[in-house]
Amino acid sequence: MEIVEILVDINVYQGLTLKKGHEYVMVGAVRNQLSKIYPGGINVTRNFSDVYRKIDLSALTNKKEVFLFRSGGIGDVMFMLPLIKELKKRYSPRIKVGTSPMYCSALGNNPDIDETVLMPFDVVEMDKSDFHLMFEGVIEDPTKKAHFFHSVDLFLEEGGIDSKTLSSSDKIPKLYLNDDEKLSAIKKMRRDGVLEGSRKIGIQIESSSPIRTFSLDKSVAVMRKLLEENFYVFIFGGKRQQEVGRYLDELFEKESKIINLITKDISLRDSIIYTSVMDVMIAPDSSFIHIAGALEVPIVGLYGCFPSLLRMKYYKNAIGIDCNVACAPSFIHGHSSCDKGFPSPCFSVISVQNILDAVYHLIDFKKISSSYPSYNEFVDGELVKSPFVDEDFFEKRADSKDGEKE
Amino acid sequence: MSVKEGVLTKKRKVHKRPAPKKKKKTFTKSPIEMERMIKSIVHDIVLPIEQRLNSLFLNIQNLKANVIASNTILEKTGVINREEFLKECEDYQKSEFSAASDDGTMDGVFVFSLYNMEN
Repeated sequence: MEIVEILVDINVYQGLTLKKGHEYVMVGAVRNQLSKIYPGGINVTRNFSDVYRKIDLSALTNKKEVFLFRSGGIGDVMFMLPLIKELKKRYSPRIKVGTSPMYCSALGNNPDIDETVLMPFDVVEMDKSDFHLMFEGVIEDPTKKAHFFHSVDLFLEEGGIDSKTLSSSDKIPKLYLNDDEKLSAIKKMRRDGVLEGSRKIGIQIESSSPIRTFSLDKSVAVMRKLLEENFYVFIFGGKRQQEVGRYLDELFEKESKIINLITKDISLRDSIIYTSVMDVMIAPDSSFIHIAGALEVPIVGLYGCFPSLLRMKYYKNAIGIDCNVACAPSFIHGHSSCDKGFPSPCFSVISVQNILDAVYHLIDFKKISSSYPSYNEFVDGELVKSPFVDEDFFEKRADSKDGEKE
Repeated sequence: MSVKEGVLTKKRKVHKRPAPKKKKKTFTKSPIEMERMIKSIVHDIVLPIEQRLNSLFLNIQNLKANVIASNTILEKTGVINREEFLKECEDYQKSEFSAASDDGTMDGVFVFSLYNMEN
């Protein structure tokens, strides 16, 4: 993070304007972009560490304000929510949250958040708050802690909360819809011609990063099979998926049970409302895993370079399909595709039928155990069944827990 | 000797070849029937054996890949502590299994992980 002085008025995005003469806090990537678009228009002034006052729980009271911020993506922003809830519960401070304009709407109606601030934000916002918590780089931590712990646990630890003191349920980020939004979900289904009682399957067609994006051909094949079973299929995506959205419109031109939300150009908030009424959401390691998880919609997650365990293990009725190839999980972040090819070759081990079987399990069509004798099962974040561990693994774990209690 | 256009040539003695002996047919099937028979042998016997061998080989590889790779994930995520697999996983990652084929595929398997099922 950097403190940057703005030398000319700059319109950033989605209505956010940076004013001349003010200092703003922003991530280095945004500063780079702005300096290219507005050469000479910005100037790095102070060190971020000069203004950052990391939270001190011993000094936190209900008269203090905590300012938590993370620019994006949406899943990463949502990982702050269990910490926010716990801070509110234990200390009742005023909570201010900063994030990019495109993700702010996801935090709407949250009873634990008193104010939201758009990033980049004026450094004055930091001066106004007693304590700060910055989450940039927590998941991308080069010390590899992120390779072993769930992202929510990392965020809790960053905030000084022992993650072991929370139940799995408390670690699920929550999204809140008001009554009008819940009603609008029903109206949207009627408007889209969805018959009451029909099965609705959502599918997120691309991840924000190419390395995590599942094969489009297989996604299309999954959609075709779901249509054969008379399901309604909702295609989720954002502005960056417009081209693939138009392609899918042409492909499924005559299919009345395909609802392409990409080309409807709906807002994030509307996407969240649509997700809330899905029977199952199929998604790669990306935003709709967490949106669905937060709304307790059953999920099928497609994972390659990150293990599903570190992203899904607290969600209810969630199935992660991991690619077990020699180079996975690779924990590669960023916005480049895999150096072995696109789509990432590891996804070749997941078949269309695997995905369908996971969906059928979640909607009680057909249980996975009838076709697949080998799978892992986790409850409350702990492994309870696996053909891949020694027989005495569970005994040893129980013994070590008893030893801890004693 | 004969004279042809004023050139003296030597007449060659032509040896007649003996008439070829009729060979006894050892096969009673026509070429078409033979072709069908060979195809049938290949299809019904050779191919299944080849497929079974391939399948067996793949199953062994997949089983090994499944066990090692799943333990790799569980090891990397701290769910289990399997020191004896760590070296094996490193070797596995350096092996030919880490390469992608030209068609964009890779050796390996998938694994389901079920989280907090309520039904």
